[in-house]
Amino acid sequence: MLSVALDVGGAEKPRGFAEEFGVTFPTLVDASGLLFRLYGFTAVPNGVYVDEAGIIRFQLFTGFSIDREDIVAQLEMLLATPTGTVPAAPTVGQQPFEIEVMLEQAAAHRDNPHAQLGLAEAYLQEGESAHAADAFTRALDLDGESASAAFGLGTSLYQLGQTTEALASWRRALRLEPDNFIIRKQIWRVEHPEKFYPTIDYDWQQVKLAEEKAAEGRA
Amino acid sequence: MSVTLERPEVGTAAPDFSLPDVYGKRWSWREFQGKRVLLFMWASW
Repeated sequence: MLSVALDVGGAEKPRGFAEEFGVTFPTLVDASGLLFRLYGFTAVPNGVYVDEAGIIRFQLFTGFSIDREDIVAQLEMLLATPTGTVPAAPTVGQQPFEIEVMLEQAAAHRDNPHAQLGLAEAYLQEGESAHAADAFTRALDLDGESASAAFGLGTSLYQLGQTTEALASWRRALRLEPDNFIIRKQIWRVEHPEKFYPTIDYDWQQVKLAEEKAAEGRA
Repeated sequence: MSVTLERPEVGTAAPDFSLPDVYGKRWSWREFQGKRVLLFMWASW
């Protein structure tokens, strides 16, 4: 079991959850939204089951819950299946972050938005918010349609205390990806903290989402 | 314009990544190679 929290605010909140529930597995923090780029999802909670050969055997995006009997049954069936000697497939996706490597790539490929985005995400994960903001800005200058770059820039600015600018950048990301519920909720969380703490008001979210969708439909 | 996100399909290799945990320790997906993993993605909000 591996748990990943998509929290732009950093490790503090997810750490509280992990400690409260006494989890025995690692809880990772994805502040830059790396996983929603790699896995192409637009909301949480999600579950992905990967076998010992590194192959995805099950995935459910949005609405994953171990309280759902149908999901548990499917996972139990997969766990009961002997996998034998399936050769490990080459992994794809993003290479492990090392800022030095990312810096070299970004310098060697100054016109490549992906190289700038990789460097920006590495900075953000190391807590280097100012450097991250610079690199996300370069990525966005190179590819103005990149919702990942706009979202990451917003997160960097938020961590730097520039909330107004952060919200503007998150809104730009949401315009590029209007169905991305994670971006939308991050904006709400900052604009309406009272709807999230001490308890999350899901009824309010439904009403708010309908209102915003209606407004976006008219725009 | 909406960006189309590519989603890895069942039966293909899971993408590699590396992220810090809540205590700052860095983990790589590769460390879990050879094990069965349920990857749970959530948010505290």
